[in-house]
Amino acid sequence: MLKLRSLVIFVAAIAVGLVPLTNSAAAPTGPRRLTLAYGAIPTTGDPAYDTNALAMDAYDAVFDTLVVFQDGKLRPSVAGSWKATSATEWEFKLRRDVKFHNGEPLNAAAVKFSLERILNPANRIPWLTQLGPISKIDAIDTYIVRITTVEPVATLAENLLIAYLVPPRYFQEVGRERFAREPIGSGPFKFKEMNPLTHFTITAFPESWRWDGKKPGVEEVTWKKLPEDATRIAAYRAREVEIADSVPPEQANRLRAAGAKIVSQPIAQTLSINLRSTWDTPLKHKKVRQALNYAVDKESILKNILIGHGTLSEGQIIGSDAFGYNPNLKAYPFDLQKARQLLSEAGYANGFEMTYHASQGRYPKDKEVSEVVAAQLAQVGVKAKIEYLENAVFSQMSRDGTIGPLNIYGWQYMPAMDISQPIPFFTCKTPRKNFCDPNLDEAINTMLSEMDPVKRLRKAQILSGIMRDTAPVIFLWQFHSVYAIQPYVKDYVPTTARRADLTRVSIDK
Amino acid sequence: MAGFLARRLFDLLITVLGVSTLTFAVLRMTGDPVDFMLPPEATQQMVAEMRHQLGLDVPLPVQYVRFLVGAARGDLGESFHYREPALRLVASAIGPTLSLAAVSIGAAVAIAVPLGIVAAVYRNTMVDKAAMVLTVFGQSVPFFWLGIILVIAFAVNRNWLPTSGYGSPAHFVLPTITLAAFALARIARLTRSGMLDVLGQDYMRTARAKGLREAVIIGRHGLRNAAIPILTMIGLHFGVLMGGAVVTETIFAWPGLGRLIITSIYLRDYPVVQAGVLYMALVFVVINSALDMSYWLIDPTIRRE
Repeated sequence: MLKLRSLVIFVAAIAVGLVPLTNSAAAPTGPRRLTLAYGAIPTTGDPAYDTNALAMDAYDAVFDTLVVFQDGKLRPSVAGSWKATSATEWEFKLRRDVKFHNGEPLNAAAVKFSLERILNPANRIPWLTQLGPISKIDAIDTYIVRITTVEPVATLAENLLIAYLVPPRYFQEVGRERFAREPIGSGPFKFKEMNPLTHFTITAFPESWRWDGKKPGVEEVTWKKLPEDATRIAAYRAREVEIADSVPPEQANRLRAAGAKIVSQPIAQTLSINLRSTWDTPLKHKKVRQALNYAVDKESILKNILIGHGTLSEGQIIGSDAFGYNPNLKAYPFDLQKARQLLSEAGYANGFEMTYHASQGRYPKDKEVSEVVAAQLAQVGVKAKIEYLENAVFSQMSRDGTIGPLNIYGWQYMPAMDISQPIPFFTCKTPRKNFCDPNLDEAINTMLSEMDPVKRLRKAQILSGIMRDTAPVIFLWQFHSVYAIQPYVKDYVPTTARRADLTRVSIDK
Repeated sequence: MAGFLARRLFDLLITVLGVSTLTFAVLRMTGDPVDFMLPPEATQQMVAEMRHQLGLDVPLPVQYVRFLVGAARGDLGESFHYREPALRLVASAIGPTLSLAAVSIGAAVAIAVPLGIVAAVYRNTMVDKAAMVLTVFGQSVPFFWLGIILVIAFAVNRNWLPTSGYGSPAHFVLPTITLAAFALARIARLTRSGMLDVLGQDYMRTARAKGLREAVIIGRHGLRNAAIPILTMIGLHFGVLMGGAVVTETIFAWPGLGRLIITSIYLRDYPVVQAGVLYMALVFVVINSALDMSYWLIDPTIRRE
């Protein structure tokens, strides 16, 4: 018979065999490292191909752009200054002290190469349309670039925010595929290594002009891809990472109580329920659309479901961080009386039934939000029948114009930080055909064709007023991204574009 | 043996062709990858241009022939999302998946088989009952719960192990326990019931009457006769784990195949899904063949047929 004692020894041996594998998270000594746990990291080292805001956080550190968006304004970067020399011509004057990490000069020829690369359809670069209809790029001097557009483009400089500059000689030498694996830029950090499934690592490049002679506060930065919320929070709590992004709202207070620095940063995206006016439904009537805006208690949802991590939209699809924001507008108040009155004036005193296309996991807490919105609409007799769509189907139906008549939607205005980015979707000619109103259409077109910034701002604000009144959507709120930051990290300031200037960051352990 | 191999090779071809055709068709019926590649403000013209560049604007049969011709040459296309060859991406995920599968199955078998034997030999004692309680737990506890509890207990509250990631041996411990728990429970229960059947057989009494040592009786005469269903179970579990354990890989941010394929399906990244599914079909056929061969080695009656 097998002895029980030998069984015990056997089990113990297995248990002991597992234990010595333990000590792992050895305290990092040597270079000061910053590790960020993000839901997404760059899928490729080539900055032209990943349009995710989180990926652009890493690209910003390795690459330069002609202009940057900082502290609420468009500011010079590689382009020290720029001006529109005619309705369709712009001149950008470059700094003379910018070099790529391999020593190649960043001059007008490099800018021309980088932009033309994006504009070439064969390269399949997703930002192609973002740049606007450009007909010609000329290096008219070693450090002066002239861009000619097909038609007047008021936001040309803003559009260049996504155009990362690459070294032409190196790029042509190694080709697209190898460049994507071993990219070279001109930013304050240079690329070290990456695996698109796990991490992206860069090291400080003190010779970069962006350090301005300052000593780097961190020598190495790694983005870890941790898409699962629980995993990201665990890595933060175990002090494996300095910063975790997209902390679920319900976790934020607990982490704060445990000593984390919590930053709730508004980002360049607002949530709304789109109200399709182009089908033969009650939503054709402005009063009905306004009634739905009165019927939803936005503040309560924001407080109870997002635990306050969002900023109420003041009747606009952009936040106060975008060009065109109108500070005089106020959100529709929650007023069931008024909602019922408007519905009965429009001839729908008994309400109606309508399909509501919702998403799951596309936006923070979207499922919960949709359920509460539907319940609130039911109070005024509007029965929203929720149908959840898979993400790819949701995107396709949005583009085809077959989604709705009610559907949840996140309007993004990054990278342009300008109402002109989302607003074309509310014109009659958009292929999505979700909204058409002659007054609104006229206001949009007048604003889009205005070249003078001061006049354009005034027109954009008038437009925002018309938009609130026309109510093409139920205005909800501006999203926040919630960051948990270890207390020993200094000056990590995420922006509305979900990025941070890493040359300011230091670690004080 | 040669006939066996030839038959298997034929099965393999049919399976792989069938699976890849099905994947090809189903993927294209359910969504358009261009929606994820372009910003929402892209114009219709830009969408059309992108579809053209990706070769998605030609009729499906033409796309399918192109796919087959490429596949025959070992070119499964470039990932839409990662912009690198799909085959290289899938290959990079096989290492983590394979090593985790092997370690988990190894750990599960190393514990489950002795546990099952002991439970059978000492049936209806406290040892048996304790083992069976353990297996009920292992079989019924959900992966995601076990994984998260392990992380909180051993990586967050006690800094003994890393919370997630892939690299050092320490990274293997928690995902291995998470994955092994289920397989362990199934294999242990099957071993126990198989052994109980065998232990009551006449040849066991004969072996004992011959005066053989108990270890030899149980090992050579008992376990070997109970082995075929156990091996089948092990093979099935291994096959599933080789395809990537999506939930466990997600919790532990393991850069494995399961997670790669799932995210690629969501993004309609056709080339990666096709390459991944092709690989999984291959794995299943190979494991099935290996199992058949192991029966052949263990059971002389199968050899005689």
